[in-house]
Amino acid sequence: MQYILFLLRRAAHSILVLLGLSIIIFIISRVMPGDPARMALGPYATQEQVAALRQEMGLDLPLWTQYVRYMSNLVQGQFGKSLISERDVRLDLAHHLPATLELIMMTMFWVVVIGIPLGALSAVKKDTAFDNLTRGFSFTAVVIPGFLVGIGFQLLFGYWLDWFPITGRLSPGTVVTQKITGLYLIDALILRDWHLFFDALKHILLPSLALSMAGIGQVIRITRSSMLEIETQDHVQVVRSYGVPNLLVTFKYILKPAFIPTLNILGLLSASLLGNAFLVESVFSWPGVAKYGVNAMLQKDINGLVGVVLLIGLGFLLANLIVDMIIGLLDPRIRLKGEAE
Amino acid sequence: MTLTYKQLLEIKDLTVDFDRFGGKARVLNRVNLAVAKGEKVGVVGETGCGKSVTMKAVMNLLPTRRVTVGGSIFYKGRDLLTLDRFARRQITGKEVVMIFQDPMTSLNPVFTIGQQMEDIIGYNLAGAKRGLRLPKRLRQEAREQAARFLAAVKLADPERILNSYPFQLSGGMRQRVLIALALANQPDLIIADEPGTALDVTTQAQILELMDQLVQERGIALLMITHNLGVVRETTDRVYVMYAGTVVETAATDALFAEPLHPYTKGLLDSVPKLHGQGLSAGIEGSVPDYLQMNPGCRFYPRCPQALPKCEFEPPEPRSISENHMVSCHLIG
Repeated sequence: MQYILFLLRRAAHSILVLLGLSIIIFIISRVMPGDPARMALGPYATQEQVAALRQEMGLDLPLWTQYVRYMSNLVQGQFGKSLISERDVRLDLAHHLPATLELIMMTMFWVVVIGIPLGALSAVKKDTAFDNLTRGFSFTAVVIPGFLVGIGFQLLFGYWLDWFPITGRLSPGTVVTQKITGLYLIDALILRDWHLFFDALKHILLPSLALSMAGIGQVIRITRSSMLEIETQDHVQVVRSYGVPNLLVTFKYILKPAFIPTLNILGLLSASLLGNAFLVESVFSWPGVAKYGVNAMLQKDINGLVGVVLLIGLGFLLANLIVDMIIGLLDPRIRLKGEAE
Repeated sequence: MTLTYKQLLEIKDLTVDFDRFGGKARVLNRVNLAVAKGEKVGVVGETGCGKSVTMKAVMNLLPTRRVTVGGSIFYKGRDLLTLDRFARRQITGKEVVMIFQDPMTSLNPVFTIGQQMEDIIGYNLAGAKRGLRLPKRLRQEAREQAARFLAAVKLADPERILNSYPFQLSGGMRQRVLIALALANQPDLIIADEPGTALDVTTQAQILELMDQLVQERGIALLMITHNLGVVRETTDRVYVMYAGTVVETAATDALFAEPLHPYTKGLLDSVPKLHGQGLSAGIEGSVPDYLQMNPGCRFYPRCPQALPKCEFEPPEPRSISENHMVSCHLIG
């Protein structure tokens, strides 16, 4: 019961944040220098054409009225038409989002399955050659920007070794017979189309690994250091002093509390991944939403921009809500807050 | 294997060195200490004088890297330091258990009391020190035993306690849980590291009284580390006074309080505020010295009000004053 209340509080909090975000992005999109209508129509359009578009977009109205219109559209889930593609922004997003979602999910997968075990092992084998190697790797991984790793991977695995394709989501011959989620890996699993699955996997491997490097490095470090910190705490000494097997002490009594900082990092990571995704998407010609968003920003496509920013914000809040949910499950002090004493 | 032994626990010439940046620190220097069956022994001294390190050496809780342990720790006549890891775990954690200093940090915050007690008691019941999964039957048995001992330490509603997380219990309740945990393993010796110092005075008094009574009833030997002289006087039969990693004096509790011989012991007893007499007590000037730059002679020399010239270079040997009274000081004898 307390847990559900806790989650509801978190969700309500997220909605407030989303509201704040919508206000900020409205202000930014209106005070940005440059005229969106002029940008959309190009330098050869006449003054009248520009004025007509401004009127159509409602940019000639007072700011207050614009805001009311903007909000009422948002509440109905309307973002308007993109000034670049001239399509409904929702269609654009629906078209670009699955690619990025797939990339980020794959990236998080690597971060979790590589970062956490390496960090935990590194803590268990503290000060051994393995630990030193892992730490060296994690520092390097954090420092090198993702797009550079991407280019390195393309050179090594794509150009020299020729193991993996270096651009796009699928090979030219591969077709998706039926779009279900838009995430090709998942669609392929649902359709049991193994050719599609392995082709998509081959394409996503390099970009997702390149994008995951910084996260893996961070997660190794935080998992290692929080396990070492918990290790020295009294309660671990207590279970050790009673002769509970080492393996159980490490993987139950140390790993569970040590997991909480790692989860927090994972939540924050989901935000920075979207930023880094732009560069990696560019390097690998990945048709994702991050690239779409940056184009919208550079070309003053205010409707597209609002759509992308709110979508990313929503994704970030959802990721953190999930993290909070898991932390609540792990940590009774958060889950049962208010019940104590 | 049956061995004849006089003492339950006998620590002989225990030496512990820590490798520090800048040299080896001799943290324990030839410590001798014994506890007989059912006996209650106190160890007193300032913070940082090696009390806890001695107990951790017994419990095998010292880090293995950069630490050298020398001498012997006999338990029922067997030297623990010569046993392998698994043989040693049959003793420490089962026959010898330790109650830690701070009840607020001694329980894992993300597991219920029941989960922790089941694991600890269950693995001791199983006797097997490997493997990760306890059989259901053992887990059930461990839980029943846990509930019994929670009742023994006068906690109402053991079932509720077992289902609680540590943060839902008060400090005094947590301390009781830790005592129940220690008793549940049916040990022969309990090492208590300043039990209750983190609690308020009235709770501490209740806890100490309870522990004393439970230990007495079961004939368990108690080795109590503390800097509280009042506690020592009330609960123990014999006392060891430690200073900077050495035992400076040991005697029956009454004898030590009646006639302290070592200047450090005198200072320690003097530092207790008294109801009669004027002003605050004298105490001892200074603090425990740096272990990297220890005086080669008597370790108390730099702070000793009665130091002799030879104290600076010649370490004093322990000397028997009477049957139970030993002191290491050049002033005596």
